Amino acid sequence: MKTLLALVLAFLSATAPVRADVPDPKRDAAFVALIGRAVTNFIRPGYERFANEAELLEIESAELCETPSPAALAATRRQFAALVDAWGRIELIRFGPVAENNRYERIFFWPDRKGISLRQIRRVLRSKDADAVNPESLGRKSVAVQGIGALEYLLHGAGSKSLAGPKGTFRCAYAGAVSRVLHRVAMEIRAGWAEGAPFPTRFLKPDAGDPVYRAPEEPVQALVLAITQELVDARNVKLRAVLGESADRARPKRAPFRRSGLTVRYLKANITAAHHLFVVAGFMDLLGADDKWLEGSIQFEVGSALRSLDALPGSLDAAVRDTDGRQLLTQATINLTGAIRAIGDYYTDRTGLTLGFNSSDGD
Amino acid sequence: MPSPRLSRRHVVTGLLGLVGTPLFVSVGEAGSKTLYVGGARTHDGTYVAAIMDEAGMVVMRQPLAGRAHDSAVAPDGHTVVVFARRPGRFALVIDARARKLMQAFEPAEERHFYGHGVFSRDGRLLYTTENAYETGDGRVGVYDVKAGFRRIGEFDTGGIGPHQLSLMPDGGTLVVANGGIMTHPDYGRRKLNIPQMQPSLAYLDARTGKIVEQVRLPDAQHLLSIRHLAIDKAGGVWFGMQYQGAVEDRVPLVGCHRRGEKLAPIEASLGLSARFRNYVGSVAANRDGSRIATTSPRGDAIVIWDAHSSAIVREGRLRDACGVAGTDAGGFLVTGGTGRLWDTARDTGATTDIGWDNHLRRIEG
Repeated sequence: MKTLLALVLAFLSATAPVRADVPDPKRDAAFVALIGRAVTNFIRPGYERFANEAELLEIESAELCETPSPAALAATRRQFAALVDAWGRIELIRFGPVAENNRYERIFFWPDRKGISLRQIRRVLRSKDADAVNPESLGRKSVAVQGIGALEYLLHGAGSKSLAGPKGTFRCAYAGAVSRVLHRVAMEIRAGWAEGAPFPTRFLKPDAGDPVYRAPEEPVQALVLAITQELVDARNVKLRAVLGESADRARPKRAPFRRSGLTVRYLKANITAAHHLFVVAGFMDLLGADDKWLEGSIQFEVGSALRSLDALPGSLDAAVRDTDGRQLLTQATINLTGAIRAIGDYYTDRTGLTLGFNSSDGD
Repeated sequence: MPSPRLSRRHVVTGLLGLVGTPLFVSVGEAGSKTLYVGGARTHDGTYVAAIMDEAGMVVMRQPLAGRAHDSAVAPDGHTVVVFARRPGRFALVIDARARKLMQAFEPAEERHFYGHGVFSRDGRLLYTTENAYETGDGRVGVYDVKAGFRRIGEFDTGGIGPHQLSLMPDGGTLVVANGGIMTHPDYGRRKLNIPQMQPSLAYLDARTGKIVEQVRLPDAQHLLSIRHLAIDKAGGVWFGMQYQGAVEDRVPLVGCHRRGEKLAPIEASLGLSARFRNYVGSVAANRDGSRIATTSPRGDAIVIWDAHSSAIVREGRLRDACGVAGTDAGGFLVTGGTGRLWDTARDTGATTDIGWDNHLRRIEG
């Protein structure tokens, strides 16, 4: 009977009237404070770091093109890894400046099931397409030939060793142009989130008359959704899709950053970032003392998933075909499910941040 | 290792295991009565296909394996096919009069439903929008109703991501909204081609599948995904769109297309952009086709149009409003994800104990 009552009460709270009907200044103030922490402690530093790594990559690749050598290629590849890591830690933010002008896709066009990128990049290389070595014209070309994905192929794909010598001139110029466009896009996003810029102003101070964020709970919902969506993507798209149903049906080619061997590092960056945002924005502050245990539960699930990834024997390619490797990866998906439920279901339910059934994920 | 065929049969058997065990809340009287069917979520988070009467009394809840989307009503008025939401693969046949699950079926291998379907005028065929996801091409699946909903073939929709389809008043032409968005079940509901999307409205010969007309919006409007359709009494095809660009962009969201004309949104719908948050969830005509309702769950808003003049005649608000169907009184019944209802003709509300999903259909149970 008690359970039934609890269920009825839970449902009644879920069907509460439109938020504007019941003003709650204290709750709104807590939301506004949380949004401020998310922007200051996570979003701005995340894009700052991404822009800095992109700048360093632009410098490294320019040096590589100027004086090609195995050492210069290695340095450029190292900087590429740093850029992938920085992107992996901020890609969960899919709204605001990154959503404008196809910036998200221009940074990382993935997943690309039909292999459009590979085909188009190879065509550019074969034809020595002059538009690809000029950042202006490259920026106007298909998203499939720009961004981190294109750069990975240029730095790590077939023929990439030519970059260390004189034969790689065109390829290097193309990689240099991609780096420069990436840096430019990263700077645009950083500027778009800077203090006083239009988007963060609205994000930080929602207003009933604003079409995007009408009430303080909406940016908070956007942030919770960003966290859970990133964890769901890590589990479904980046792990389960690669694992397949069995070792002989594994699809390692589906793994992002497989060519550069950065898959696990990138995945860990994604998971760490989702948890980091939850912590540094102070999401736990919205919960009462009864729910404090949730913090430890999320910490445990995320920590376990990361430990499983750390324990992988060798590359992901090898791991998905190996019994121990598959077990670890499966365990990581189980822990991710735990974290997704804790934040996406329990936390949103307890804080009343549940999204509208129809509006949250439309069709 | 189980073959995919076998595992699929398991799923079907699992669904059929539910035949005859719907949870009756109250058993309606025999005889024809106006009812509404829609997908819904219960308070414990499970999904059902629910049937309610005009007053909002839920008379049947059929448990589902996952979230449903829209349903197709046969010409008899009481045979209903409820479709899984993308990328789902179940379709359930319910006899609303008998309050009974009759059958479950699935699309072909390497296909999934988009959640919409329509019967042929004689009720012998069922057409559904489907994703041939390995190539990304849009398909209309064709099912033989009398043969137990056996899939007998498919048509090409001439685009990616077909969503809703309707039968034109001539009875021989299907109109399909190609939303333009590519998805693949391996990547869940993630949109894979936003920068390249090319939505369109395609008219297909319902017997041969031949594309007899296809229209697109100008290139500058390629981010407007054409999703939902309703046909007015003059044969105008009303369409509701979902914008894939920035929420603060101001874009038109509703249009009406007549065969042979250019595809163009209604100017006045630009004014809905902010209120609808660039998202139309459902489009429906009233019983005589003189009015068209458009809903936006993201804007908690409903706008009703005069089908002849294309003028806005009524506006309303309901939290998470999406499902909408014509009522006997000439108005609309609107459902919200919160469980609340709004009857526009009577201007009355009611609250049910389930959260209603995207679409609602009027039936005769």
